[in-house]
Amino acid sequence: MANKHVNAVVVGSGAGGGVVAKELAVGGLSVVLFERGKWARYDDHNNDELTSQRTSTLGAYYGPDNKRYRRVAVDRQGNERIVLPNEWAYHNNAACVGSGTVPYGGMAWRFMEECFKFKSTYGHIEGSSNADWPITYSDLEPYYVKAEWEIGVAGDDSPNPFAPWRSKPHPMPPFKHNREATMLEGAAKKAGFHPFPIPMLRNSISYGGRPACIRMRNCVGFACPVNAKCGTQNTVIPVAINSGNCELRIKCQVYEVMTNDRGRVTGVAYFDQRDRRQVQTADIVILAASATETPRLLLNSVSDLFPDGIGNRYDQVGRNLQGHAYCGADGMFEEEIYDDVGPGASIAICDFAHNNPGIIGGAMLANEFIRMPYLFSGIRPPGSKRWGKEHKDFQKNFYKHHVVIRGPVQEVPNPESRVQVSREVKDYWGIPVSKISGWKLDEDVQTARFIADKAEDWLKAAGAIQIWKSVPGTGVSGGQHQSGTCRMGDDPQTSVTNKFGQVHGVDNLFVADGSLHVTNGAFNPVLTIMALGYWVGDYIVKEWNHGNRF
Amino acid sequence: MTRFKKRLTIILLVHFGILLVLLGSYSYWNSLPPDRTCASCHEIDPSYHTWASSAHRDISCFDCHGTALSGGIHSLQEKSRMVFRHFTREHYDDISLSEEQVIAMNQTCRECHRSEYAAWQSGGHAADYARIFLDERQNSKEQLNYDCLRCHGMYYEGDIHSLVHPIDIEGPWALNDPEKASQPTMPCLACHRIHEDGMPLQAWDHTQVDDIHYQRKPERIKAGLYDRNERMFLNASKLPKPVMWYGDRELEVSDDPRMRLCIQCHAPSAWHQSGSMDDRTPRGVHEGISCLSCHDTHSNSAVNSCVSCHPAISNCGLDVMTMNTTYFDKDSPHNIHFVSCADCHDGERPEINQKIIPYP
Amino acid sequence: MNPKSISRRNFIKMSAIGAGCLYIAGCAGSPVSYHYILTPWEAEIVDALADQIIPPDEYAGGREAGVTNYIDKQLSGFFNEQAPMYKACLKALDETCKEVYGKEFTALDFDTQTEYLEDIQGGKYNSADWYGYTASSFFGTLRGHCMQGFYGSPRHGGNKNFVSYRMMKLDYPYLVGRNVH
Repeated sequence: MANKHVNAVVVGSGAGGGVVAKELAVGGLSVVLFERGKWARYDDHNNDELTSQRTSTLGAYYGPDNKRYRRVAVDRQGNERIVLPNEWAYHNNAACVGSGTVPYGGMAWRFMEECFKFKSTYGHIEGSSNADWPITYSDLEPYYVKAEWEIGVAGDDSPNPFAPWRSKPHPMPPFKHNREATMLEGAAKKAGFHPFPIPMLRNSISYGGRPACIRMRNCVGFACPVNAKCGTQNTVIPVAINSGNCELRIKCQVYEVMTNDRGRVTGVAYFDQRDRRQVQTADIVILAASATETPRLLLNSVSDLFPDGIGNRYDQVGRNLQGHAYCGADGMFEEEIYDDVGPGASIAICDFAHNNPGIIGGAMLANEFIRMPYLFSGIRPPGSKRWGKEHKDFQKNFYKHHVVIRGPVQEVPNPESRVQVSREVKDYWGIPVSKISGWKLDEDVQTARFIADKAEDWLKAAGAIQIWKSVPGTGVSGGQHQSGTCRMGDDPQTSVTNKFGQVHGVDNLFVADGSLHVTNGAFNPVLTIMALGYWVGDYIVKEWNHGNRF
Repeated sequence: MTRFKKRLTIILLVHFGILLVLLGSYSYWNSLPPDRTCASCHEIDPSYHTWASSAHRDISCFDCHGTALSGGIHSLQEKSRMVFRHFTREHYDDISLSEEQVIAMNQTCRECHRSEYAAWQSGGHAADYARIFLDERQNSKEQLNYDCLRCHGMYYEGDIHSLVHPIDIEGPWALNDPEKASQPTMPCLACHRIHEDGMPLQAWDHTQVDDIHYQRKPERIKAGLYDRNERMFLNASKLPKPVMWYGDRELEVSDDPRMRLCIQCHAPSAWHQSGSMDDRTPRGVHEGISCLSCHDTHSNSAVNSCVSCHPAISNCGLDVMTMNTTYFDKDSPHNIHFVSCADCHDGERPEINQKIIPYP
Repeated sequence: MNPKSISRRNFIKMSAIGAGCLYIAGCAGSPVSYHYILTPWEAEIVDALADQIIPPDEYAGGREAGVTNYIDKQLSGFFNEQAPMYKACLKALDETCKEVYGKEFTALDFDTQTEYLEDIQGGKYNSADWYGYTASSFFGTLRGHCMQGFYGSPRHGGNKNFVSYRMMKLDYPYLVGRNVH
């Protein structure tokens, strides 16, 4: 039996898709929300580091699974190899209802005003496709507020002089620092920095009917055992479903966006739970499948009118892939710093996010989430033994003496960092998979070096007895922060969508995920993806006009 | 007609023959010692070895795990899965009891451990699903969540969403399966393991001086925690000894391993402040003593326990049989877990006997 | 469906179970390895390797913590594609050991084993033919698996009695209570 025609199809139930589905459903459109994974159950995965989304040594519990999914990774020499979801080079994002917002750490950053104006702030950079966003911070500010209040953020940026202006405070008070963050707070002030508590998508008090965080050490990489983390799966998606206008269809793999001979999108084709081919027609389609899967969908949707994939007339789809050039410093301390009050990351500085003389971009710096025991077994000062007695003694004696400061360095967009589809490699359903290739520009590594020095300064001020820095290589980045592959812009020749996420030349097709980012900010991107979800959703609902508009 | 009858007779005889052979081999099988039957599969080896050195070595596998046919669907499924995996050479080492079997075990335990059973039944740890999960006072304050099952219903096969609805703080709440209402949430196997090391129960010879109960050497701790997350039992001596704080001061905590079991569920906040959340780690005048110094292991009752250390009157001259020892209200100055000299005596803390009764 | 077909189906079921029982009874007494993929000889080498990677001290070493069990379990499961490499490389490791030291690996004393493994890790034997595998990269894989077995969750077969958490003075299971009561 054919599926009933609906107003809108949303592909992907993560940070962007969940929000758009809710905005449309509440706005009166009938919606089908597609998710390739299932509802994540804490009970199936509880406390297991080896299958957590961060380590995934024995597979990532929240998916995608190694059996059906694969991608192709290309190194700088052009050598291709097949990678599985539990490998780092796959650039995995969870495949479950809520996607990355289930296992994430939940830092709720607003981008700074400069993040939206990277080109006008730093100028043209050779070899890059550097650009400004077509929207400004002021355009997005009301939508940040919506995200913070509807999904739930605990924070207070009043001690942060670099914070962008806000029209409404955070809905929840910030988290109390644990021993490590308290120590780092004093050290940062001593060093002349301006520390403040990290805004978190996590309940510091009971909020939205859900309890407050109990401060466990297992947080990032895991679902929350008490449901205190705020993701789309426990906030906006239930609202969408309860509105009566949204049907969530799980375990469905969308593989093609369908178009008619007039170049309009008519719906999507997908494999259902039992791997049968199905079609869902809709007036509009919104893609929110992540910065690697959204371009794959567009590129795999080939027709006479779109021989190179939808929206790809100027070969822009899949380009400008960015994550963050993560860097920082590890420090060892004489005294025990660790007090087992989770989840770790709680203090940050924005002193070096922008306006660093002679440096392009920058990053906020924050302390790291708690390292799990196996992860820590891979952390050693340079030159240390990687096994044997010395290794074990280090694990035994220094686990609670280790502090990490890290920062997500904003990358300069590089058109050669890109997602393509493989000609040879296909997934379980026979659909060509994403092929990820490219590199970071030298400027990114330079900035990372600068930021790592600052992390070192912070640890020095805190009295670390041994410090070692980490600066990334030039390999392509992506990971959970992947973005940029369908960026927004006013010029169809250098972007994929307009400033409302509407694909150039295809009026009823939208994108609403990290792919839209022109640059990825000096911050973890999730709150911005959510805000863009509200921005795109709001535009569609306002302009909808009973289907006559698109 | 006769031909049909003849054929029918033959068919019936053949079936009857097969049935006899099957029944014969089935009962022969069940009568064999486990190392010839169950434990001949290496899947069962680890369980077999722990059982063979356990206090319950006299009890047959079948008594708890059932025979191939008597253990219900769970048992049949598990056994056929084991046989299948045996031939596909896949790992299968999570032999376990279903919750139904675990709850049924309570009655098996009771056959020998009558007084312990009676004590358990009289105390709070015999609380059933209705009592725990339909508690309006709790549910209206804090949303039910996955973690509830860590301490109540650790054997429950499902998650909080399949147990109760709705999952919110509005209510009214109901169990999805009304039959669960009267089932215990903390059965014997919450804190005990049948396969735990030990000697079979023996009749004490009271003519021997070492056998008189108050002369017996303290035994190895046998209680422990069934960790729902790992689906594994951990002896209390292997549980973490808590580091507890009162403000900035680290508290003296008893070395009694059994107390580590209590605190697993009567747990403090992540900050490990004494008295936070469900914690009752003693501080003040009772700092450093074990939960089990006052509470009975099975009933958890502490009635009349004061008198075992304070004959008739307390150190302050109060009658311990009648004094206020409220334990419900954490903030009461009388709360026996936290009461300190300064709660009643103004100014300087009077000299007190710092000697802490060591464990055991 | 008539009653007779049900009884026939039951008969088939019963017969299958009966046959299964008889078959298993037949296995009784035959020596069985505790491991699925590793032979007792291979398991002995992995035990020794596990103790080299994580040596015993006041806390259990790799062997006692069940690292071999973890590896065996994963080789029959998530890492099943690596089973042939393990088999080949354990054989090669022992053969090279005999050539160089004149003894089986498990017969070497602890410090000589360490020395040998450091050479393997350093690439000294990468030119030797380890049945198509590279000695140092096998060692890298093995090292990783030992760490996972020792520091990962006990449910995967290693970290017996949560020993590594206790060693690191990490409360496990967690001591974190609910919010209100």
